[in-house]
Amino acid sequence: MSNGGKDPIIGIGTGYLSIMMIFVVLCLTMLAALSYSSAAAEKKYSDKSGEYTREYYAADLEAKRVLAEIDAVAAEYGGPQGIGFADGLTDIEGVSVLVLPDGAEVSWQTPVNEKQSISAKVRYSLNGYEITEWKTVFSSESENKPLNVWSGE
Amino acid sequence: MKSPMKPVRSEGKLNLFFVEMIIVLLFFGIASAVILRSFAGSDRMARESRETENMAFLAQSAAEIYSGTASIDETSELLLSENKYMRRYSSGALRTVLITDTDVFMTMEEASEEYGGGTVKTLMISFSDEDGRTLYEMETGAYVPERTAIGIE
Amino acid sequence: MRKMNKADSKRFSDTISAAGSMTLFLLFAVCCLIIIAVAASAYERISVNYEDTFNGAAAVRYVTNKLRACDSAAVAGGDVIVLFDEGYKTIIYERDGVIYERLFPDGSEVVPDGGEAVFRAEGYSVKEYGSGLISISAEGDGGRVFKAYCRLPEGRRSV
Repeated sequence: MSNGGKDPIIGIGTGYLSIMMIFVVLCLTMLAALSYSSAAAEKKYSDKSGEYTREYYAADLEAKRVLAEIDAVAAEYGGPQGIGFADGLTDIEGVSVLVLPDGAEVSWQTPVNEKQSISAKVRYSLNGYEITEWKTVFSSESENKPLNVWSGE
Repeated sequence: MKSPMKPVRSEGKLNLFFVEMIIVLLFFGIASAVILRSFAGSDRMARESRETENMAFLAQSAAEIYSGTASIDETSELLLSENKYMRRYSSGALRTVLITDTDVFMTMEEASEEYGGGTVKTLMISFSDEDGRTLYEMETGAYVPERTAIGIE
Repeated sequence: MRKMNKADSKRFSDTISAAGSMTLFLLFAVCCLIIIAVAASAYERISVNYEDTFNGAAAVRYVTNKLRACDSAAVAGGDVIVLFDEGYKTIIYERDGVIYERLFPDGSEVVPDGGEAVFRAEGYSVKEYGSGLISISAEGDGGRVFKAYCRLPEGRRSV
């Protein structure tokens, strides 16, 4: 390459800038997409966990309110062996009573969400009550629902 | 890749380079603006997730302590002693406000519901920013029996 | 003489233009590199946060939910949690930054070994405060510590 018989002047050829820009934009787009998908997945998980925590403690409080109602009935009828204790509990929704020789076992479930409930069991005796169960269980509806798995057909 | 350095014969080529540079910069500017917005969005989502996680864990901790102690003072004391970056903002008989390490206000408000056999004490835990915007809130509680309890969870 | 000067001056201006274009090209290349480095560091930060959440936070939540769903539970020395259910026991323990879980039938000896890895979480620890209150903490890959209090279910049994 001559420049009027003298040394050529060195410059940048056309197209290189465009290629470089396309490469950089592709890199940035890829990183932005990866960042967005990670952040979105994390946000979804955090929101769901926060929501579950809220639901669980709301259900826990509701179950304690039921316990307070049961205890109010026990106080009214003079304990589990008082006449009318079991009948008095029928007014409380979702509570079942099992009369035992030395007291009674009262159980109920409070839904946490569509899938889970808090299952509580309280055993009343002459000395007072004792919580024998306070745990999360899968609700009967979701437990009976078959899993959506391929049956091989 | 070939070297971008090329002998340039005339001014025309140089002008072409500058034209390309202008087009590339224009396009790159637009693409960068879009990509930067995406990055900013991802970063905001990640920050919000981190906040939600922190708030949900703090709320859970407060709820678990309160369910055993039924005391707003003991709850805040234990939270403060275990989280050295948290500090007390204000405290009253039924309301305590703490500030987390990320300058989020954690407000705990206590209320009572009387039942025949005892009291259900409720605790409303809410988190808000400096502008008073609620970020997360949940309710929990504890049952304090008057006479019949052997133990309560 | 005048002709020579004109050619020289043209050549001089061409050289300046070429040098300018090369400088601009280099400047653009450096800016591109800086932008890619900034974007990569932003992605790394978000990715570390993601790892933290899906290891540390998820591990603490997992153990908490396990405690809520069992009949009763106990802390058996160190960071080992034993969950009692009808007919079987489950232990949750940590070895070398990994949380393991293992089931044992009732009556068999509980050994914190040979379990199935469920989460990777450095600094996993369980602390007892009395009256059934415990705290569970775990560290994510990015070093963020997650801590939550939990209450052992009623009716604690000895291991």
